Amino acid sequence: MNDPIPRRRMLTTIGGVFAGLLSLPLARSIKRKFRSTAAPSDYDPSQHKWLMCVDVDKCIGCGLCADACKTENHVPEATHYFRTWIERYIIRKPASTSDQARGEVLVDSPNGGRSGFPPTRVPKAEILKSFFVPKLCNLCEASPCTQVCPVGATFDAPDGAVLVDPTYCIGCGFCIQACPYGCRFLNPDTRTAEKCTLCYHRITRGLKPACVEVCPTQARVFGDLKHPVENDPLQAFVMKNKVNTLKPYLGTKPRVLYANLDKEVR
Amino acid sequence: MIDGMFFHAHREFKKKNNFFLALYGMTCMMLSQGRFVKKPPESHDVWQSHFNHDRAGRCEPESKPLDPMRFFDMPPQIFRLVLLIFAIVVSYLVARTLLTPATFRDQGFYRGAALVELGWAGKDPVFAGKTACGARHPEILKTLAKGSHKTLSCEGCHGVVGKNHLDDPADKMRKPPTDICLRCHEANPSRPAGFKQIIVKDHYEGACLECHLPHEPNEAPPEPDQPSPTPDKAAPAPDKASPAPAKASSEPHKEP
Repeated sequence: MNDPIPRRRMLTTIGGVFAGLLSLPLARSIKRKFRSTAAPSDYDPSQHKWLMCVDVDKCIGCGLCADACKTENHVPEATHYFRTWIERYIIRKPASTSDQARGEVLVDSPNGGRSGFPPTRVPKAEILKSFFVPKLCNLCEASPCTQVCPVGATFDAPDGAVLVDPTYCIGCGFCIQACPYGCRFLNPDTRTAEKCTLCYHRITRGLKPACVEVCPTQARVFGDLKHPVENDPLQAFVMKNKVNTLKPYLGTKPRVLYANLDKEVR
Repeated sequence: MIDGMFFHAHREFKKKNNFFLALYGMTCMMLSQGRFVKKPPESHDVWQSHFNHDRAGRCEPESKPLDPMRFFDMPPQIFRLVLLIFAIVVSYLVARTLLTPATFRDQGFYRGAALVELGWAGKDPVFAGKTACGARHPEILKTLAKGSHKTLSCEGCHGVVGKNHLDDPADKMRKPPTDICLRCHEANPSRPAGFKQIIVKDHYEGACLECHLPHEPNEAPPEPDQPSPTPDKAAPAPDKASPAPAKASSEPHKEP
């Protein structure tokens, strides 16, 4: 240590390492610039804002959407993996002695409604009201799933979709626990979290999501808020209906709008 | 730039916790060699001798007080500590630079390339879409658009248009299963009241297509004595059928 030359050499070495370190971010930004120009630019996520709306009164529970979603996105066949599904709500008549307006609420979703709904065991005379509710990712503005992801695999895309990066997901399952709408599952094959992507591979190519494509009654309405087309179904939906969201009290700010939603729907 | 970096690091450490703050403060003091500390008022020449003598005790009267080499004029154990901290910080920064994917933080706290991989550069769509069908079968779509089945998608009943059919039109699409009509039109108390529904055993037990034209459900059915299983001449197979064309919604025993 007393010898000045090794010390100087060491100082140079440290300085060199430090200078090299400083050049790394620079090299990275250059590389990034090179990459971003090389990428195809026909779709700019910042120029779109996708939204899906659901009219509960139009859903007939045929289950084509749930089936098409599984086909389109290669979702595992087992009966508890769904990116979108249909729930059947049955509200019984109140008991004759009760002072309530409505009776017990039964909810079921056999096979996600994928193969239609078998007749319910509740006798028709006891049913006060019954309806189907299609469910999907609610595209929250303050999405809890994104907030809990420890590695940045789940993210809010600039165009409104909430996506999972499958190459970055570590399969910890935090997001599955965090989603208050139960819209996520762990894919047993890839062992990564999966969810509705609004058929991101379709919408970025100018197609409609598969569920919207096959829905026979237009209960699902899909559109781009930044590029309203002529007679835009989305704008018409918002204008015509009194809309609501699922679990608004949670503060997740869901963007998916439901028309004619019953208070029992969660 | 380096100043800014140190300032940033200083702030970050302050935020993180007091242990690091103390460690960082100690390091700063070591490095500053007491230059920012006030000299004691009555000097016993301790400071002066500290500045003027090297570690070996040799006097360097001509040495300038801001000689950069003086930074390392500190006890060796402290110098090792400083080196260790420096090595830890450097290895962390190097590891972070190497392990972080190239496009991470491009748009936010995620890999920007994922947008491309999940989007237009990702997997191919399975469903071709009604527009794609309309390119080859415009006449069917025109027929369909007239009736109340205008909102139906071709692939809802006929199934996915595979690569086979797209590449080779001779490779026909599947025929919709005979019970596909019932998927929508079977009576169910959960369905909207205005939607046309039938109770099969009260309506008719035979095939729907004996009476109904799935591509034009509003049209009158063909004559009962010449039931046509493929009503639309141009169609390879009928679309989703409506068992209830106009009046016969859930009326029982409507004979064909």
